[in-house]
Amino acid sequence: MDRPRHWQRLFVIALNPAITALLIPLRTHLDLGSVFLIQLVGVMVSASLMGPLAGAGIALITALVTNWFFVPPLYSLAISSYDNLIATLIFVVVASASGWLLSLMRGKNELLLRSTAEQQRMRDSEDTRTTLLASVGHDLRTPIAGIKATVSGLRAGDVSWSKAETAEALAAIEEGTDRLQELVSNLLDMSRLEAGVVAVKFEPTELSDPLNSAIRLAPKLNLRLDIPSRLPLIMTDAVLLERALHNLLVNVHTHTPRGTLVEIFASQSNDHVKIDVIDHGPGLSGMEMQGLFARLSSSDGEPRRRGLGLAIVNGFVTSLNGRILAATTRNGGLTVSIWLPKATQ
Amino acid sequence: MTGHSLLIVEDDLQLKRALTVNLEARNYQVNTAGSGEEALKSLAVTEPDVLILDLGLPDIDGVDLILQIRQTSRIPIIVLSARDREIEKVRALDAGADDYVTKPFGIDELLARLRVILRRNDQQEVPQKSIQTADFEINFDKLSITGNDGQSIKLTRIEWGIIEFLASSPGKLFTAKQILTNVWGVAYAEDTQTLRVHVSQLRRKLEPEPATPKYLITELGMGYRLVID
Repeated sequence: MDRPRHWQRLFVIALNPAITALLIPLRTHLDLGSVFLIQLVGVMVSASLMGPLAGAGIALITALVTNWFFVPPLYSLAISSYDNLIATLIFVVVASASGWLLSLMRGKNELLLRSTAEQQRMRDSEDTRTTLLASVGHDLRTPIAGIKATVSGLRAGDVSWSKAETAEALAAIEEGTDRLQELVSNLLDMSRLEAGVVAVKFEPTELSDPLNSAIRLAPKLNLRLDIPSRLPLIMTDAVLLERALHNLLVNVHTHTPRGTLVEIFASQSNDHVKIDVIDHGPGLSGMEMQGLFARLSSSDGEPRRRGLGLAIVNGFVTSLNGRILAATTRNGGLTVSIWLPKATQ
Repeated sequence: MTGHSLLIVEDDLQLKRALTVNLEARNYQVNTAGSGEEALKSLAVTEPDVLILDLGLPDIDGVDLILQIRQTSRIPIIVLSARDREIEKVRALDAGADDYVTKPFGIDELLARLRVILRRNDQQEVPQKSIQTADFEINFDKLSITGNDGQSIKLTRIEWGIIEFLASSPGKLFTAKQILTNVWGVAYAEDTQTLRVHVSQLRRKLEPEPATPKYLITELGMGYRLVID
């Protein structure tokens, strides 16, 4: 159960004294049983707000107070008759037990609410996954088709290939398997993230660690880096961030002509570190820019290749509590900016 | 050319065949085993120069196998493992594996790792007095590092400890736990944030561009290696 809020505490502290104060002038008209029953209502309300332990405590205090003001002899904790003793004891037991039951029910109720929200979340992620899979089918089949065609061509006995032709065919096969490997890795990562199998491990991290690793593993780019040497630490999962940056660089590599200048800048604001990956390639049209990260396929159902890669980057960045935005680079090209939370020290 | 002997422990027939063909073509003497038990039997008869071990074996947990081998032998071990099994790789390295290659890999990557390990093995016969790079020289006798301008680079005791440990096997990947245990002591084995801070300071002192290091390389989620050009 959630911790009681401030107003709840104040309310509970005020409630039982208020009931007692109201009952004192009426005590000549009221039977002791009625007094206990009215007090019981107050205790149950308090217990349902504060939890079972506090409820039991409040029940006990209320019993003592009621004893003092209402049980003869008045203004003493002594109890003169067995009837009154039994009434007091039963009050304590019933008040504690009902308080405990009430708070238990409240807990159940919250669980129920939470599981409904969980179901909604699962339905949402199911939707994303279906869209993703539809797009991915195309991306998976393309390299497989290329590999299959090339290998069967090489193995067919009717032609003899020159050394250069063979080398070219083999290079194409390797490229195809690399593409498949990237895609399968990403899909596995994404589905594991969504299924919650991988815990995101947040740690104070130097941006340069995952960034350099991503650059090292990515295909060769005409890169210009400007990372301030005294950049504050970010609170992130270095391995996941490396996957995000790596995918972004692969995306840039695939969709810009060879040798295109790509700049990576880092800067900081109040509580974020911002990474800009700026390419000076052909960029995207205004139409294509719309909902670049959200929509995986264009209206005619053809997968948008650049969008798929970026959707995956977006998935990683979101799970890192980051934000991502794309804009057109001045003089053409695409600029992708990623904001990640700073580590508080 | 090399003539070095290898034992490949891999249960996937296709990968085993591809590795054998490729390594034999480069003059390695290749033996293979399809399970942990076969590997132990083969090692009992002859010890090869390098062991290439797939961590996902049908009969024995790969990490347990490394621990078992390490009780009697210092044979260099390269493990093969899938990309998403970072924790498994760290466990294998902590258990005493020398390096890892992530599946799927290009044969050139495996060959490069093999060359580094074999070169290190040959060099370990003679303890080195110093290591020279393009930017500084590590001098083990004087416990000091000199920049290429001739100026001595001031290191703290901890920083020297890290460099000395990494430089004991240039190119070798050490896990954070191994570095922490060796430099600070067993009680500090989990204190990765402290290690990160000290490595970062070392980079400011040694690297020409600390933001893009070329000597003190971080392997994300694994550890660090000292790369000497």
